Amino acid sequence: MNLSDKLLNKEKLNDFIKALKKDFSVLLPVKDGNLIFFKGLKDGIKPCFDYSIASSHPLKSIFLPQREELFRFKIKKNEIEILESSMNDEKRIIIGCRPCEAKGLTIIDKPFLEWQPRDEAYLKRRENTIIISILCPEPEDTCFCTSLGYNLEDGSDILMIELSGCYYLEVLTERGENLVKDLPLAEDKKIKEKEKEILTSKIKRHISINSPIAFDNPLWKEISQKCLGCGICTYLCPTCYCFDIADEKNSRFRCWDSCSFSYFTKMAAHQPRPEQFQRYRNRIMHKFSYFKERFNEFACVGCGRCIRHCPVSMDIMEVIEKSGVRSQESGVKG
Amino acid sequence: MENIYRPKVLEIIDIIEETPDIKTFRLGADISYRPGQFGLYSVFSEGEATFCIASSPTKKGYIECTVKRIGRVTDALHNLDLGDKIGFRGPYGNSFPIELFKGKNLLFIGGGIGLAPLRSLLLYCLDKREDFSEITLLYGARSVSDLVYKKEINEWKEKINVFLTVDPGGETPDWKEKIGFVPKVLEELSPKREDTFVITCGPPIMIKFVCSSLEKLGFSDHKIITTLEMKMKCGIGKCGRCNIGKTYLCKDGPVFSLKEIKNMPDEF
Repeated sequence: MNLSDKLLNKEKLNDFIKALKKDFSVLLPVKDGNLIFFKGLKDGIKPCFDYSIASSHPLKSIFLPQREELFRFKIKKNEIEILESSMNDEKRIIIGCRPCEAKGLTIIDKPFLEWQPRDEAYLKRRENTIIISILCPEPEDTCFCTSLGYNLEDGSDILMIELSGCYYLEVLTERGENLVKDLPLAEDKKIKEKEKEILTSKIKRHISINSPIAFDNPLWKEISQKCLGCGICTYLCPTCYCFDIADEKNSRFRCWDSCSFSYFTKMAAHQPRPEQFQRYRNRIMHKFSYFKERFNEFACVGCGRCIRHCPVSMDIMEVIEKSGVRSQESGVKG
Repeated sequence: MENIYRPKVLEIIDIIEETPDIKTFRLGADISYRPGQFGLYSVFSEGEATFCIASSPTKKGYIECTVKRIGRVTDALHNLDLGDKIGFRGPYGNSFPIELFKGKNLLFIGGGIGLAPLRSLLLYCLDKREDFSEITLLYGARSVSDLVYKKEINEWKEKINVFLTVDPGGETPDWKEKIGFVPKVLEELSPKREDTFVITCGPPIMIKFVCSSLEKLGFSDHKIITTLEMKMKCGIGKCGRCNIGKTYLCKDGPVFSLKEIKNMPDEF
């Protein structure tokens, strides 16, 4: 199947979404207080496409919910009956996430889908969800996606680019193509590259992350001294996927966990990471060294949320800059 | 859709009180596994915890785990009776490289409840005794009452060499075996290293000292095999907490040679 880019007249956006609603549950970015959440399209809900990536709730929560029941059970005397939890397996479309968030999902895919056994609940949600990302109108001052060396198109089925009067739809997958096959063709392909270039040229922060950071570098203690271990960086991160499993009265569930917490690795009689600097080091090294060695890419998309929301202004870029080996190569490949 | 977090429900068919706070549970199960593998055991409505499989696959129809009472799940486990049901996911992880051990001398070095994973292999070797050359066990615990598998160890003595030790101060008036920390006793024993594989497990600090004693005695890295422990929640490479550097214990371990451990950061 040939994939061809399409154009969507801005006035037709509502009709386009309405048509999708027939076959899919549509999730859109909606402002709630100062934050952006992805919510189901209902009457009265107004999508917001020009939001800041730094203040949006992470998209991963749609695929790896913050809290998810794994199964329920009934205990009768000494008999145990396990009951499978019902899973929402409706077909969904997310419209308007940022490209870096779509990329983040491809990173979570590695341990969840490449490593056997596959996480079936996560797989089902990935398979059932089509992603139409939208190119950011402006980068945030905390954005550094261009330093990570991935493609802006990664993880999206369609990449939407806002032009005057219309949206340019760069079709990236077959299931994306199926959604837009009736729309008019985009003839001028150069325009999309130009828009991407304009955006990426506005990103101010650049860093090269080529070489693993030394585990024994004494700087780890110094740079993580102010870390509170609050875990907000991991909760908001599009690529952090660690979870805990626990029981309630009649169910077993998993919920997000964080390598910043002291009990994360605490065992009955032993704690391999007793100090905060060891936990912080593990987080950073996992992203820029361990994950890279296992899956040949970084577990970071440069969204900058961890910088924006850190209560003590820890800056992941400064950390990498201090500890890593710098080089000249960088850049998102348009 | 297969739910990879759904456990099998197994019945407790025997309970052995090893020490005041350690019990061995025998669970009725038809599960194939290899010595060295582990599982996630659960008491429903209390939670899951990771333990090795302490029995040998040569014995069919059950698996065993040896559990110290120390937290919420282990507390609940200790309160269960014969006929009660628990959850089990597994077996997970790699296993001891038995093929390498065939025809060789084996030296087992265990500390405390760290004898549990070694027991799986030891029982396997006892059942296939002719496949291996000389077998020796050096086992120590903090005190006499902390030694596990006491009754079995007496039976093992007929087939293998056994040396027991307790930490200084942990002996009783009638204690006739050794007194001293495991690495020290090991150095005194000065076991022969020719054609010998060492399999060791215990608290991390013991493993580290045992390895350095073994190196002093001239054992080479690749012939020292250990099984490590880190906190685990999923057992299958997803929950993200059992890594030592880039190595995930659940996927790549828990069994490693000292040669492999030397390539890991010292964070276990």
